[in-house]
Amino acid sequence: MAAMRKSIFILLGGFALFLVLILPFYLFGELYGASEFLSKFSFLDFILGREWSLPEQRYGALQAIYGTLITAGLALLIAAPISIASAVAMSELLPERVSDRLGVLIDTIAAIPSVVVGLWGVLSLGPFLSNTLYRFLVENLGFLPIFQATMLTAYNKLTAALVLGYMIMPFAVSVIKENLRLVPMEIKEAAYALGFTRWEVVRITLSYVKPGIFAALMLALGRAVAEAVAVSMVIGNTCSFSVSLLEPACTLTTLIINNFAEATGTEAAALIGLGLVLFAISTSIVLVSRLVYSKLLGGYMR
Amino acid sequence: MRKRGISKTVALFSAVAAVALIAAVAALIMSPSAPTPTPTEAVRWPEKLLGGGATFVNPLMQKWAYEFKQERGLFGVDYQSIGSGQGIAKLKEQAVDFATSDSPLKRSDWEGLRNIRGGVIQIPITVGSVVAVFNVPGVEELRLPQEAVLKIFDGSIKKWNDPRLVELNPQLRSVDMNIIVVYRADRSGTTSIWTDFLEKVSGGKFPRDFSFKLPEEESDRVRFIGAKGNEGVTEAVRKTQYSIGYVELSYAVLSGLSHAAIQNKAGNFVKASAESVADAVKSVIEHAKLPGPLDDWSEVSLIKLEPPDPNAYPVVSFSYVLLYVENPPERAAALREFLTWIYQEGQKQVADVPGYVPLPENALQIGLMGVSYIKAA
Repeated sequence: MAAMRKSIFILLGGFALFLVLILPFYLFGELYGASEFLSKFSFLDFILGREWSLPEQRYGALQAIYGTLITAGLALLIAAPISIASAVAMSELLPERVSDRLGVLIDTIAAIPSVVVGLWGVLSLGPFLSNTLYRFLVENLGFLPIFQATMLTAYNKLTAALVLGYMIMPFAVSVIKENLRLVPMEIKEAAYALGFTRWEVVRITLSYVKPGIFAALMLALGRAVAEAVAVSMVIGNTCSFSVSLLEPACTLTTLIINNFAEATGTEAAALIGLGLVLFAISTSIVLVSRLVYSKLLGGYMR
Repeated sequence: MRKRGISKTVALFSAVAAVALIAAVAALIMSPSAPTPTPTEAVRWPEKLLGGGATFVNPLMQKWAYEFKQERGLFGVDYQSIGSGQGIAKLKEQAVDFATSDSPLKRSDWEGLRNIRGGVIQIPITVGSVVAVFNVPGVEELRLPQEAVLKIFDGSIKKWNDPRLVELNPQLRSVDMNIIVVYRADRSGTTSIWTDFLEKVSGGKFPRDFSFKLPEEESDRVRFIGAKGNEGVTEAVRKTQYSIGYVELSYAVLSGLSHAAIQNKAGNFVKASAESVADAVKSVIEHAKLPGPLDDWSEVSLIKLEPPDPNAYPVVSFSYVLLYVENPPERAAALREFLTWIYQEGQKQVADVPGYVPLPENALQIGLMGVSYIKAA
């Protein structure tokens, strides 16, 4: 029995080691892709190139970078308050029975395949919003550049951000919830004993888990940046620098997913280049969040 | 002691696994390497033919494969809808018995394959047509001169009540709305056909490509929405008022969206239909000299040959079946059997698949001539 347990243990350890061992192969793949890409492009020209146009063989990544940052950032802006609020509600305010069931439901959202979310966005959410919210925004807030549009469609940055926000919310909620659960009971009890109101206790708890909330939101942002299928279905896929949220855009992932299947030669190299830019963005999100996280944590240790 | 026991077990296990793996691979390599010579007997059919390529041809090919099996019961046909580009790639790798493509071989490919297995036969298998579907509330009919089609899709006609449109379509006079243009965001044969037409009308200025070229001007560009697949474009036009997009005829028919009548060479405004597409093909074959099955087809464009028939719909294109001249005997016989059936009995099935059009008689003759080039080797 003991021998068997031990061999299972070794087997599992082997798998973990295997994961570490294939990492160099992955990096090698990335480097190979990079060399293929660099043999055809100058990196700076590529990322600062203003236009992406396949028929004219113009490969500039800037519009796609713009689209990626604006949709992912907006998605985070939408998802952050909702996820923090619902995490607080579930861990502090609602009765346990209710919040447990809610938790299961929210986790289910995370399990919906992104193509299904995309279909929902393109068939029902988008058309509904374009006749209601978007019409309202254009007619009443049209003086703001971000809500200016010469036509109403379901395919724009705002729909993409809403769909993305919906997709990343469950991740943020469950991480924030776990963090809130770790706040020592003594702190809350002490606060109540000192006569703080419920609202004030929530605020104290929240400030206690600030680093955790930040980490959760960064995790969500990373997912938003990397999401491809659902976004490509609702964003309109027209690369541009337009400021209006009600006009279409493209992102790094949508360009790759739309074109990679049949791309060859220079075009394939350019798409690999977009992948590298995406890799750089995700890596820097991870690095920055690590840095800020340890800073925040350090503040608490002091 | 125990530690060694474990490592021994692991070593034994991996050794057994390795032996099993080698045995399995060996069995895989050895098994098909004993061809059974079958000279004097009657024709022996292969179990199935392998084909792959254009998604546009897929519904038709599946129907044909099914009906052929039902009717003749000789062998199956396995067609994979992997896209024209992949189909041609598989043909080059000699991984399929036949490929299909929405466009003929590029000249460089044709030259490269000319001396392999007797060269490649290229023959029309069906005809595709691309239509402009639109969604303007209250407007059912739209008459577009070729120039107007170009100007809408290059972004220079911006509004539905542009005088150039209202002139022929007075019903648009009060539609003071921007035109939303829906295009294919993914690479596609449909875009290639549509931009072939735009290239012809623009005198070469609009580039023919598998990807759609967007207007330079940002304010025009943001009126353009990219959707994926014919389904995506159809859905986007259906859900977006004041939009126009291009899809294969079958998608327009199935979705019930209105599509525009486009002016043809004779000056008539014609909507795509089984008749107007067949008339277009027939009249091009009558008036133009098309290459032979083994020739270079890369320059052939029904659109640029401008169908002269007064009832012809102008945006039509062949889809091709591509196969090598020389095939192993059983496969040569099977290819001949299946393709001949397609060009004869198979044409009756075409009308059952919505939006597809039977080839006119003279195109069938080109196909049958191509089939006669198939050789057993």
